[in-house]
Amino acid sequence: MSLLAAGCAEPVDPSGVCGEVGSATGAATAPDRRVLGAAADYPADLALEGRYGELVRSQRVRRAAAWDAVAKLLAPVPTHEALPTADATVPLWRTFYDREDFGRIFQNLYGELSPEERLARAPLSDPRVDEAFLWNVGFVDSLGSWPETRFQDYLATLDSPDAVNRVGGVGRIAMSPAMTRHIAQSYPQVLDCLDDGPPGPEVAGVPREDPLLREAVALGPCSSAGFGPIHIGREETLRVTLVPREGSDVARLMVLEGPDDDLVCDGTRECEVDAPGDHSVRVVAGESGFAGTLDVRRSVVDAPVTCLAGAFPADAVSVAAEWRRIDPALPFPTFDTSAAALAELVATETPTWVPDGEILPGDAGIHSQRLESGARFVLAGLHIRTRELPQGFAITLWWSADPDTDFGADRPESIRALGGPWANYKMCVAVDFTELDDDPEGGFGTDAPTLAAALSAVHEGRGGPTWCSNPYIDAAPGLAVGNCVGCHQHGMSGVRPGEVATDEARFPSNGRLPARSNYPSDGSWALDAGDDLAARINEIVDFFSSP
Amino acid sequence: MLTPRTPSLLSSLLLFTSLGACGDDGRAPLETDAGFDMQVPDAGTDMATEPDAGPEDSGVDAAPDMPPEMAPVFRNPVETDDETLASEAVAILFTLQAATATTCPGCYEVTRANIRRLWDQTMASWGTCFGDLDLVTPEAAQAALDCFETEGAPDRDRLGVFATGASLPWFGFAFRRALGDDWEEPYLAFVADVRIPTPPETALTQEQFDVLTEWFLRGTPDVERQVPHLQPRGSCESFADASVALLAEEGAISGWPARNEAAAMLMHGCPTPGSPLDCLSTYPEAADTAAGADWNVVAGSKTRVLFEVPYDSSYWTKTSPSGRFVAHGGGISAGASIIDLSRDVSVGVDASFDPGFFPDGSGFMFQGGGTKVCPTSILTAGDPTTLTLTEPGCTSPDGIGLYQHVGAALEGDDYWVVDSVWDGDPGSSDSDPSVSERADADLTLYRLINTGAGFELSGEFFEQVPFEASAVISPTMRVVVTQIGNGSGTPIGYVLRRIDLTRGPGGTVTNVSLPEIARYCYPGGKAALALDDRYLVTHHRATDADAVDLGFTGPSDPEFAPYRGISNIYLVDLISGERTRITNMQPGQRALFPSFRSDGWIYYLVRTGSLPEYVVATDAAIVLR
Repeated sequence: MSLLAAGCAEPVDPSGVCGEVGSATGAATAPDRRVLGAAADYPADLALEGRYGELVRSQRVRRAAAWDAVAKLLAPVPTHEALPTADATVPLWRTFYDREDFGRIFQNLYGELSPEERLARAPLSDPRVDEAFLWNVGFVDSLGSWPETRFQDYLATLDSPDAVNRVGGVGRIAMSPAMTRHIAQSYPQVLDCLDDGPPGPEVAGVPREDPLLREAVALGPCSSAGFGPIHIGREETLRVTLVPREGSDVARLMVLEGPDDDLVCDGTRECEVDAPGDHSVRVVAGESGFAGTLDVRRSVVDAPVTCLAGAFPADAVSVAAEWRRIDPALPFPTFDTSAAALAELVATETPTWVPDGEILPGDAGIHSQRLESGARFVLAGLHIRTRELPQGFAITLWWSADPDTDFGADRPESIRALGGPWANYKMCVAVDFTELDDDPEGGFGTDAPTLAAALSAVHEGRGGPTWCSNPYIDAAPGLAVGNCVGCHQHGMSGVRPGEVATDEARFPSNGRLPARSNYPSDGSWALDAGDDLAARINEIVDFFSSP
Repeated sequence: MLTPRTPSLLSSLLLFTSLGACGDDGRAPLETDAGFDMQVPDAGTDMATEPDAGPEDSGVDAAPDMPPEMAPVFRNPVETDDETLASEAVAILFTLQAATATTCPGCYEVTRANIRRLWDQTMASWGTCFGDLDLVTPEAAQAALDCFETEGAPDRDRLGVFATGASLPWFGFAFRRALGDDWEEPYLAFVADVRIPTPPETALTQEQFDVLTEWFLRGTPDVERQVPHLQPRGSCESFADASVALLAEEGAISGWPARNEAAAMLMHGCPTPGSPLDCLSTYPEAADTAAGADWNVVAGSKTRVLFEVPYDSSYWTKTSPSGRFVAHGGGISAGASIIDLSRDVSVGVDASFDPGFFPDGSGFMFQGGGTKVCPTSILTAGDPTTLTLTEPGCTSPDGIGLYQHVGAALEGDDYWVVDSVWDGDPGSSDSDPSVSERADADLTLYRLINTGAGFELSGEFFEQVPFEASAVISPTMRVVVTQIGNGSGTPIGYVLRRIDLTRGPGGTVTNVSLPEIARYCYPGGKAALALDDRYLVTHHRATDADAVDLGFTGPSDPEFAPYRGISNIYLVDLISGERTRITNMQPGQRALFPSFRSDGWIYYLVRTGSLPEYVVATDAAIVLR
């Protein structure tokens, strides 16, 4: 359940006339959890991080990987309970845990600790979390208000795709089991953060050095050898040492960067480079040749994750769903994300999405659900954030009446094959603060010209901030020029989402650039905005501490 | 959304559908010695298939090897829509009113109170006497006949509206099956005793019986329009329609208590979920305190003192649904306060008065310097000592007036705010706040549409409610309660109105109506409703009319004098209309501003004339349930 303004992506009422009052209840209630069963795991691509260099320098590769992730999250999975609708399925992300699930699960875990264990903030073991997940599925059976007959009657009402879609309600945030588990197991760190206050922007990380290459090099006169590519990320340093064997002449040591092999270091024995990018090392021997050893290391200072027990695992995924009510009082807007519209948008002082029309989407064309009251909600957008990449894999989908142009022009068959409305959603993705693809068209100039043009409209040059923004979700002032990554770095830091896109002095480029050396919640807003899970954890701990 | 048929009733109707298949083609009136009309099954079809069951004069030659006679159909299901059915049923009731005007004047006058009484009887009999309509064995039939009796004599009240069908074939069959050849005389006596109308008035036909019983079994839908409750200004007659009971039944399974339990809401002071009577046991009982030795008055209940308030509170005190937080105007360092019982501290709040908590525990609202709405997380994340209500997540929505009543929508539905004429109640007066009785009074319901991410104001609906004031909407958004006065502003009762929404395509609300479904004729202050719509609670300052209830011989009892103006807490069962005083304040003491937490505990404030004030809790509503 979300109350009032929440995460980076929370819509706001620009007029400020009424704003938001109350809470939009409709999360996956206990009976719905039994219908869905335990949440499905997200099948993370554990090799994806190894392709990080490729992803940051190629929009095309990045988008292909993002569509793959989307396909996995939209993949139909059967419900735990048999429903009247034959072969009833829900998208995988709809099985994820919401705030109520988290509250029940953590309550069960913490409540089972002994007073001594609570005092010591004892760890919650994996097997105990597994048990709590299963307990949560059957929790409804312990409620006097849900006898089996009522539950069976409820199942009988789920007799159409529209009805099945309402299982899980209109709750906003859904978390994969890995994310839920990690937050629950991080409760001591969460409590520490609440007790001590948010960490400042600069917290010294723990340096480490990864040996990447150590190789004997033997070169004839005037010959050379190349090594790489070697990707260096933000806050990383590449150290290259060339040590000649005794009696050998020195050689020229060069470090080159990018597709044009820009020379970023030129020496004989040592090179140190800290500019992010894909690098290569070249050793050029003089007239007498060279014999020696090349040693390549990458120095990394891991950004501290001070409010969690370390960074999230790769299969930790959060999904923020933007459900919109279909009602005459709430016309459903459409947005133009073409190159022309984007060019105009980014030129404004505070880039903010403005609808270009209204539409009444049909049931078949958009993922929708109808509540028992008859109220119809449609899925306008999805913010997806997986942890398969260091800065998170930030993907956002939005519905479009013109789905096959610009950000939908490269939609792969894997998405189309899902059927239903899923081919009507466009997508953008960001994996880092800065754009390292120097092709403004992102490699789509030939086969997807409308996408190429749209990407060009928001490309600020190689090294500039990346762009990704969802017109339905990133509705707050300034967020039309966002990149998700910049905003999420502030989760649990005390900075509020609304400040990030508009406080240019503190957070330049609409908050898209790195502004801190630590990520208190590893980029998750779930703890202190939106679902306020930190407050929920504290509330549960307080409950068991009070007389 | 309110549904007039409960699952249990629907199940019953389904049962009838299957029974109807047994067939009942025609019935011939039978003149009897008693001189009134009876109806028995067509001898050629339904009757006398059982050799020892058919009456001698039924003219049936029963074959010994024929299968046993099957029971005639009791009633046929009626498919008519609620509105049409109500119209037809009420027309039948008026014929019964006319037919009984002489034999039982006033007994069956078509009033809301009488309809409700008849519905109570009907549902009681439906669940007992008419549980087995097949009556396959004489024992089963005898059990039914026994069920119709009280202390050995037929009792009309045991049959409810089914008494109107006593002359119909099923009853005759029941007597034949139970009593064999000697059935007729007892049966005729039974008809004479219980039938509505009493013989020799014309009995209802099977078709009329079907319509009438269908309407009652559906819960007398639309009764409020068919039988308007018309009372002159200044008078009050209590009644509660069947729909109140149906609402409470629905509230028990889908109201906020059930919803919050499913969300594992942590009820303050409760060691075991689902066992509210075990809650708050670590707090001292009022009986053990000097000030509160006599406060508890409901047998078996507990009254506990939760917090001693070291300052003068201002206007209303409200509890959060979990019972952890208690808020009111006034404080030591700020204009208002929120008491965190978990930490046993009072948190200063930059507001003035009129707090309200969302029933799902998600947030709260305060007035003063504009309306402020904040998430509960600003209270639960950390250990705040003061709040400015500008903390992250807080907003200042326009359009919410004083004395607002906040809620959250069940299952993603819309949210409503009610506005009406009202009178303030600082709690310092010796008398209940007056009721502004205006002929042009109306209720305005503001629709806050659930957009998916929050709520937006989108339209308002008016309903004229002459002379009603101080409207309060229930946390479930299913009912609204107002107060009426005696013509001079003195409160004399509460009017309960159901919120009926007419929806168009897509669930859009196109109209709202607020039919009156109950009236409870008691004095008091502004009402607070339980989170499942079962109870109303309020405070009331003692007047002469309360002297006897407070244990005195009357208002002239000299011992009573110091009790005038004290304030006690009263609980009204919305189903039965019964009022129970649940506190016993002493001279100089006032129990004020009661409100419910999710599990039924009631919190209220006690002022004794000097500091401290006391935040007190009682489980009386749970004990009395």
